[in-house]
Amino acid sequence: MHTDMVVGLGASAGGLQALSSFFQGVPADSGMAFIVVQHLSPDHESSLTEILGRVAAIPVLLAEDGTKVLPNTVYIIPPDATLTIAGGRLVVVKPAPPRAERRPIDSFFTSLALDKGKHAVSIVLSGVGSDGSAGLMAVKENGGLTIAQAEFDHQAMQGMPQSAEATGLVDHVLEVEEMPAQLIEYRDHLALLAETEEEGFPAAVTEHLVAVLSIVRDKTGHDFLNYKTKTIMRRVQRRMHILQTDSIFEYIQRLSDEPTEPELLFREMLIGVTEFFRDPKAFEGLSAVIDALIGEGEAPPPIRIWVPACSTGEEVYSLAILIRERMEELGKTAEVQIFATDLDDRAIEFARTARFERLTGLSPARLERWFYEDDGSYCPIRQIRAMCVFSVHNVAKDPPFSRLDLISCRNLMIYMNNELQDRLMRTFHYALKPDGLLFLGLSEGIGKHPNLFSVLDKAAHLFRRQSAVAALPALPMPVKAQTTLGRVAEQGRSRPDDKVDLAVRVALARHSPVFLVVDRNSNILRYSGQEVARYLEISAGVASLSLFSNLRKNLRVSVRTALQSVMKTAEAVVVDNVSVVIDSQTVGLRVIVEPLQGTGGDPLFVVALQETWTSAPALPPQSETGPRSAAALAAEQELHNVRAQLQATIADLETANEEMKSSAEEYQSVNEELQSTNEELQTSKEEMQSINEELHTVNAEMISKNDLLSNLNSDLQNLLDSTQIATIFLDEDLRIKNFTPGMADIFSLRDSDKGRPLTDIVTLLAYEDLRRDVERVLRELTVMERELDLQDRGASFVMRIRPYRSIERVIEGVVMTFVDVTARKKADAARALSERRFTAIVDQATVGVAEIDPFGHFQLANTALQSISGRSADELQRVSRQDLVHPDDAKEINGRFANMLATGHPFEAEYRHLRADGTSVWVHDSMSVLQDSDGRLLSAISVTLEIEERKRAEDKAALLLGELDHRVKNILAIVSSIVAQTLKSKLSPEEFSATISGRISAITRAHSLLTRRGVASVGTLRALLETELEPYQGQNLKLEGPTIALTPKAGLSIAMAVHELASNAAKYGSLSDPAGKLDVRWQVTEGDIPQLRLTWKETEGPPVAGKPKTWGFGTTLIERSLSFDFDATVDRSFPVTGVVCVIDIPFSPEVGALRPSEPGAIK
Amino acid sequence: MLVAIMIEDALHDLGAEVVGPVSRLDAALTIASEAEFDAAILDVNIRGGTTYAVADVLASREIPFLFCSGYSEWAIEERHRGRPRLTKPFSPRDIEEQVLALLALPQR
Repeated sequence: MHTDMVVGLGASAGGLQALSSFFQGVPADSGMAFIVVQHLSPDHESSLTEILGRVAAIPVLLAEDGTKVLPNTVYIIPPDATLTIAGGRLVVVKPAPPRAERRPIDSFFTSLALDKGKHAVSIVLSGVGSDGSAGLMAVKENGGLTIAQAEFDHQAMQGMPQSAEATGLVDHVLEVEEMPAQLIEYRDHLALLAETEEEGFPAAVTEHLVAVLSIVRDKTGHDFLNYKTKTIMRRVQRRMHILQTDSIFEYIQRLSDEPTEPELLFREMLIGVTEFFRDPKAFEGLSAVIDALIGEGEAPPPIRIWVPACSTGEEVYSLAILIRERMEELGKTAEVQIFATDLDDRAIEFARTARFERLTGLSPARLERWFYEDDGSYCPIRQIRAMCVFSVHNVAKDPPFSRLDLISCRNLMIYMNNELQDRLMRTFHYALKPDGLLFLGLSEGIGKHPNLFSVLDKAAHLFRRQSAVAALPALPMPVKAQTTLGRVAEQGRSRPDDKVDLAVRVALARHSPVFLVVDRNSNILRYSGQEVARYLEISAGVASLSLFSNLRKNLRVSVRTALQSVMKTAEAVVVDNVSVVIDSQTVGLRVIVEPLQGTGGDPLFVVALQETWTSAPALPPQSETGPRSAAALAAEQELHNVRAQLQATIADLETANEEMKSSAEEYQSVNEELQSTNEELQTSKEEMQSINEELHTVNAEMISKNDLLSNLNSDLQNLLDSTQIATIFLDEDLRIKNFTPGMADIFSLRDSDKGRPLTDIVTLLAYEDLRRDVERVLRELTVMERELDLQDRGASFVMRIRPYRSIERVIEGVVMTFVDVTARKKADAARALSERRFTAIVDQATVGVAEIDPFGHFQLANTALQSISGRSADELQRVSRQDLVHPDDAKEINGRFANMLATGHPFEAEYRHLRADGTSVWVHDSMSVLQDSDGRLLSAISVTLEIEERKRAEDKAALLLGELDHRVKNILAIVSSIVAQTLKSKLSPEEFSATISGRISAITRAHSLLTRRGVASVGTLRALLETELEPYQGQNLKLEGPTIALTPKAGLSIAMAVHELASNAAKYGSLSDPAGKLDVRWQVTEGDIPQLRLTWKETEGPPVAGKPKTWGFGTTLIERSLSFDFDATVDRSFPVTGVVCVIDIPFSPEVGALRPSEPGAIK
Repeated sequence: MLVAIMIEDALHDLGAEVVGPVSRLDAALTIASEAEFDAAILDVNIRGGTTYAVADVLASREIPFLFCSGYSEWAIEERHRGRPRLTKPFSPRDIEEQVLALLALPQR
C-alpha cells in the first residue's frame, strides 16, 4: 500500500514510553512515513533510534539532510539540529537555535503542513510546555489531521497535548494505543477522497478553478487567482459540501446562476484567524524594536504603521497597546498612526466598532488597563482606538501606503502563491522607509528576497528593509516579476549623488577594480558593472546566482580559496598575479576578498578583480630576411611621413574624440540627472497615490462616523421630541443649548431662544433661586431636586438639576428636567384627607377598632378599644391579641383566628376580654382580614363591642326565669294539693266549684299582692287582709294594727287562713248576716321572741251553736299550715256571739318585719 | 304544708304510716338518724337550710328516699343528682308510683 501520508510525532519529557507504545501498534505495511521530533539535549547522544528499532515493525533511521522520505519508515531527529521537510525530503540544519527559541516540533509541523497539506498528520504526545501547538494549527489550516495524546477517556494530557487541544483545532484526543487505527482510517479516507476527486475533478482542476475564480472576480471584483490553489480548493470544496454539490461543473453553474453564491464563496475565502497578541514571543521581539522606533529626543517623528489583512482588528489593537505600553515605560509620547486594512468589509466594520467578546491572548492587566466594559463586550479605550484607522483595501491590487516605519503582515502570505508573495514583498519594500521593519507570521519568511530585507530578529520574524540597496521602488503591480539580475543591474546606475562624484566615479571606473558582492553561501548579490562580465562565464544547466557557477573556470580555484579564508578569519585577503586567459590574452589579476562592515544581518563579502598586466598576443615571431632597395627606402620614407602625418591626424582625431567623449559623458550625466528627476517624479506620484489612499481611508472612516453621528443625532432628536419629561440643557452661563417641547409649558420658549440666557425668559414658575441653584450644582457637581409650583394653573413639578457631562467627562453646564407631579400631589392631598377622615371615624366610634398583624401584634387601636382594654395605645403595642383573651376562651378564639388567617373567612365571637387590671369583660368581636390588591394577607381587622351589661342582664333574666319556674311549680303544687284536699270533702259539684275557685282566687290575690313590689302599701298585712275581705266590703269590717311587711311565704299562708276564716264566716258566721261585724286586730308583742298576734273576732252574726262537728279542710289548713311552716299556734273559740280566732306567730324575719314608717301603729 | 298534706294523704291512701312531716332541718336530721322507717321524701329547701345533710344520713343508713323539688335537676347538689325525684307539681298518683318504685314494690 502506498500513500503520500507523513506522520509527524512531537514528544518531549515522558515521550519515550508513548512512542514505544505507538510504534508497537503500527503495522509494517501502513504505507505511511513517520518522523519523530523530540526535545533533546544538544550534546546528548540519544538512544531513541535503537529503542524504537527494537519495538517497531518497520525500519527506524536517524534523519539525514536530503533524505527522501519513504513510506513504512521511521525517521528520528538527530541531536542539536532543526528538522524540517521540503519537497518530500528531510532538511537537517545544525546547530539547533538557542534553547529559548527552540521549538523543533512547531517548525517541523509547520514545514510538514506546507509540504504535505492534507497528507500531513501531526501528533502531539506527552511533553511539557506548548511546543507543537502552533505547528499543529498550521497542519490543520492546510487540511491535515491533528491528534493529541489523551491522559484518559479523551481528556488531553497536561502540558503539550493540552496546549494543543486548547487551540481548538485538534481532531482527535486519543490514547497512544488508539492512534495507529485512527491513522489507518484516515489513510483509507484519503484514498477514497482521492478517488472521488478524480471523478469530480478531471485532470484540469486548475482550469476549473480559474473558471470559479473568474466568476468570483466578475461578481465581487476580487481576484484570488494568485492565492494558493490548495487554500482556494479547500474553501471551494467547503462551499460545495454545504450545498451538497458533487461535481465542480454543477457548482460553477450555481456560482453563475445564483446571485448570492459568489459573495458567499468570497466570504468563505476571507475567513480570518486572529487573536490578541498572537504569538507572544513575536510580540516580545517586536517590543524591542518599537523602543527604537519611539526613538530619542523630545519630539520624535510620527510613527506610521500599516497592518494589511488586519481581519477583525485584534492584531491592530494589540500593536497599539504594545506601543502605548512602551511609550509609558519610556516616558515618551509620539504620534502614532496605524493604518489597518483588509479586503473583508465586514471584518473592517467589526474592527471599527471594536466591541470584543473573545479576549484570548489578553492578560487581565491589559484588559483592565486598555479596555472598558460595555454591555458584556470590551471596547478599547479612546487613547487606543484613536491610534487606529481602518479601511477596506486590497493589498494585492490597491496602491500601498508609504513612508512607513513598520508593516505587520502576519499569516497572509501563507495563503498566496509565490508570485503574489513576491509582489507583496516588493510592495512592502517600497512602502517602508529606509530601515523600516517588516513583521511576518511564524511560518512566513522573506523567501528569495534577502536583497530586499535582512533578518533582524529571527525568532520574532522581524525583518529590516535593506537600506543599503538604492532601491528603485518596484511598481506596486508589476505585470511580470523582473529578474533579480536585471533589477540589480539597473539599481547600480540609479540614485545619483552629486555631479563631481559621478564624474569622478566615471573617470575612475576604468582604473578601479571590478567587484562582486556575495553572501556567506557565495550567492552573488551585487555586481559593480558590466565590466564584470569579462570574468564571468555562463555554465550550462540550471540558472544560478552562485559565484562559482558563474565565474570563469580558471578563476574559481583561487577565488574560492581566498573567499574561504576570509570567511574563516574575517580578514581581507589579496592574491596577486593570478594569470587567466581572457579573449586569448593572458591577463594577470589581483584578487581581493574583503568582508563588508556595517551591513547588518548576514555577513557579506566583496570580491574584487584588478588587472595588473596583460601579455601581448602570442603572435608568431617576425622574420627579418631580404635586402632593402632604394625605392623601397623612398617608399619607406614616404610611408614614414605619411605615418607621421597620420599620427598627427590621429592625434587630432583623438583629441576631438576625447572632447566628444567628454561631451557625451556630460550628456550622459545630464541624462542621468533627468532620469533621476523622472524617477523622483515617479516616486512623488506614487507617494501621492499612497497619500490619496490614506486620505480615502480616513475619509471612509469619517463617513462611517458621520453616519453614526447622524443616526445618533436623529435618535436623540426623536427622544427629545417624544419624551414627556420637560428637559432643558444650559451652559455654565445659563444660556439655552437645547430643550424638549414640554418645556414650553413652563417657560415661554421658542426655538429662536436657543443661545439666550434662561433667566431672560418669562416663566410662570415661582422660582427665584434658579441662578443660585445652578451655580451650586456646578460647584458641587451634585444633583439638586426641588418641588415647584406653576403660579396660575396650580400645576406642580419636580425639578432636577444635574451637571452636564460631555463625552470627555468635562462639565459643560447643566441639565434641568421637570416632571409634572400635579396629579400625584392631588392624589396625595386626597389620600391625606381620606386618612384623617378614617382616623376621626375610628377614634370616635364607641366600638373598639383594631388592626392586627398575622402575628397578633396591634398595629392600630382606637380609643374605644383602649378604654375597653384598660390599656394605653403604647401598652397595646407591647401586648399581643392572645394576651387579651381570657384563658378559658383562648383555645376557641385562637383557633378561629388562625382559621380566618388561613381561609380569609371572617368570624364573630363573644369572649371574655382580659383587661389590664386582671378583670375581664365580655366582648363581642367581629374579625375580618385585610388583603392587598393581589389578595395577599396584610392584617386582621377587629371590631370589638363591650357586652358586659347585656351579659349581666341575660344572666339575671336566666336566674329570674329559673326562680319563676320554681315558684310557679310551687304554686301549682299547692293548687293541686288544694284540689286534692277539696275533692276529699265530697261536696256537690256546685259547692266544689265555688270552694275551689274561692281558694284559688285567694292564692291568686295574695300572690299578686305579694309579688307587686315597689308600692308602699302592698305586701303589708293590712293590704292582704283588705284584699281577702274585698268581697265583703259592704259589711261592718274593722281592721287595725301596725304596718307589717310579710314575706311571700308567710303572706300566702296567712292569706289562705284568712280566706278560710272569711268563707266560713260568710257561710255560717257574722258575714252571713248584713248586720254582722268582723273585727281583725293584730299586734307584735315584745319579748325574747317577738310574737305576732292576730285576733279574728266575729260579732252580731247569727248565734253560734258551738264547735262544729267536723273539722273541714279549711280548718286543718289554717292550723297545720301555720304551725308546720311557722311554728304558729291557732286558738279558735266558739262563743255564741261569734267565732274568735287568735293566731300567734313567732315574728321572725322568715315571717316579716315591722315598718317603722308608720310610727304609732306599734303598740 | 299544703304539699306535705297532700303527700301525707297519698301515703295514707297507700297504706303507709307517716313519720313527720317535719318542717325544720334539725328536726328532720333527728328523725333521719334515730327513727325507724322504710323510706323518706325530702323537700330540698326547708326551714333551716337544704336537706342534703339529711340525704347523707339516709344514704349512710341505706334508707331509700326521694327528693321533691320545683327546681330543675341542675339545682340539686352534685353528689345527690341522680337520686329519684318527684318534680313539682305532681299528683297523688305520681307520689304513689314513685314511692312504690322506691321500695321496689309492685305498682298497683
